[in-house]
Amino acid sequence: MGSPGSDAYLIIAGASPAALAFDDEAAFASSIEPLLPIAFRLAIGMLRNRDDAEDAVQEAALKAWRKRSTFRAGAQPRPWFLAIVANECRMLRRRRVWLLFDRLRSNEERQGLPGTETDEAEQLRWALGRVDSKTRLVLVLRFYLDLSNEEVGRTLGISAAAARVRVHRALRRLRPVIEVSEGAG
Amino acid sequence: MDETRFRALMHTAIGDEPMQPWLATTVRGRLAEPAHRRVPGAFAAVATILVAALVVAGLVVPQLLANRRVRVSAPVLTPATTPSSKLPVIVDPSNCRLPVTVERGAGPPAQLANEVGFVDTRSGRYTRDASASVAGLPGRDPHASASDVPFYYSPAVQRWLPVSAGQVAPDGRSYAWVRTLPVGSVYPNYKSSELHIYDVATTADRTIWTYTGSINVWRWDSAGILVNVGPVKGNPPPQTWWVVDPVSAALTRDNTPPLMAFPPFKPLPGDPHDPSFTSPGLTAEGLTIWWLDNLDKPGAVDWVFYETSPGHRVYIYKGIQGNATSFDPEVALVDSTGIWFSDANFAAANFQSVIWHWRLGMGLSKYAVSRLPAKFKGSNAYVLTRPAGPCS
Repeated sequence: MGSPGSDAYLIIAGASPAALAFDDEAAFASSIEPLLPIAFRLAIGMLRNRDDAEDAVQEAALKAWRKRSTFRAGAQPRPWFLAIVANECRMLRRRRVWLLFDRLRSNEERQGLPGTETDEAEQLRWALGRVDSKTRLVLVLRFYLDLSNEEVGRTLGISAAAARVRVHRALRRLRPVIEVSEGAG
Repeated sequence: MDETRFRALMHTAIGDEPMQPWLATTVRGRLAEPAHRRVPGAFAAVATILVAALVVAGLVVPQLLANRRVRVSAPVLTPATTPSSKLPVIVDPSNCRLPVTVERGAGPPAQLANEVGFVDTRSGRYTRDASASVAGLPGRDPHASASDVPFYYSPAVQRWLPVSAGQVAPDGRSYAWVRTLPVGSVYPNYKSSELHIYDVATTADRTIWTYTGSINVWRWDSAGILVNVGPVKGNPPPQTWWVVDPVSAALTRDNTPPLMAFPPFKPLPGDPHDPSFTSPGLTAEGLTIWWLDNLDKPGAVDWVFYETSPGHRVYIYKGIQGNATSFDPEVALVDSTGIWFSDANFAAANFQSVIWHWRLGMGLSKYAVSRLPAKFKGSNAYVLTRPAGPCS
């Protein structure tokens, strides 16, 4: 079991969780538990289905353990784990021929849209179902999980500046539905 | 809407379902299972077959789709005959001074810098406006950092302004801005909003509407100032649209907000199935410009058009992704010469910074921009040039 002070127990200031323990599976499960709620939210945002999101988080946790050697000492655990969750969501979509379901769902939602009402949330939901997964991931990370551009960048494996560009482009893609005036940061 | 409000809308759209406590228990249990450490032989065999099938499908299907798309959409620059814009051409777009914002970025390590200046469209040369400042002007985004730069240049008052093009009066001498109250409060803590008009030449600032809730300015054209208003918070916040007379402050209810109508354009025979689309902006007449885009798929359609009425399209560009023209409109800005576009492909490694210009009857022109500030040294470096005011 990991403990503060052992080599396998990484203290990460200012992050949630404060530490990841890689001594064994049980220790890892305990240390990664604080990340599961945000991972679940990311999965819900990407997959829009509770059952699938729960599957994705479980699989991601298992893969995180298998990929523990990719975690760099001193890095923040949250972007590392969220990147694995995001990848698992992409894999889940592929495994279930998600594009077909997604398209059908989008069509259903489009038909369900009010003709003249301006229900912004409904339209945004519709738009999120239409954009590609990369765009959706950026929007979910930045505006649903409220991550900074820096942390979005770390999750995507890019710089904060590049993340800012992707956020900008993702917002542009929503522009037919909604226009967001971008602030700093 | 601002980012904080958009965040609230994202939560409404996606929902805030909490994670069930059993999930953590299940994760713990599955991690404790020895089985997760190895892949069963039978599963591995099936997985191998599936991977092989996916590889074959991945190689063949996109090719088939690409071929189909190429046949559907041969790259053609749309010929045009008669101008539709009512604005007279008083400036030659190939020989004028275009205000631009220039954004440079790279990373890691993260680097970002913004500046403003002008592009001489005849030579393509960029010149930085080192004296540009919006100091003392009201309406600057209270969240903006010190590194933020002006958004728009008005030749009428020869000043950079702290607001977007849509907030500026058609004559370029005034702009609309919103103050939240209590002064200094931000979402979601403000209670009401004031719509102001600031006259840049006289420095007179007028409050023309005070609303208990939020006000968002969308566009100022000859009809007035189009705004939407609603409660500061809501689930989702209901919105109503109004046109405000900038002189009398009279309000007229607008039931057809241009960017919120659905479906956004009428599908036509020959359209790609389930296209990805976005909008870089509006025409001079307030018509939404649509870009059927898919930057990640070479061979996909690449069409830019607007509708004069449902089903009646004016094509600004009709090509395919990855062709030599490579027109990828990012931001559109209208002036008396036509429509200026920045290029959405600015993040490409070999991207040459360009500005595009289009006018019905004149077609699409590409202006390479030179003498821009050097790219940062580092990975993912880019320089993006956006039109930021009328060419004069």
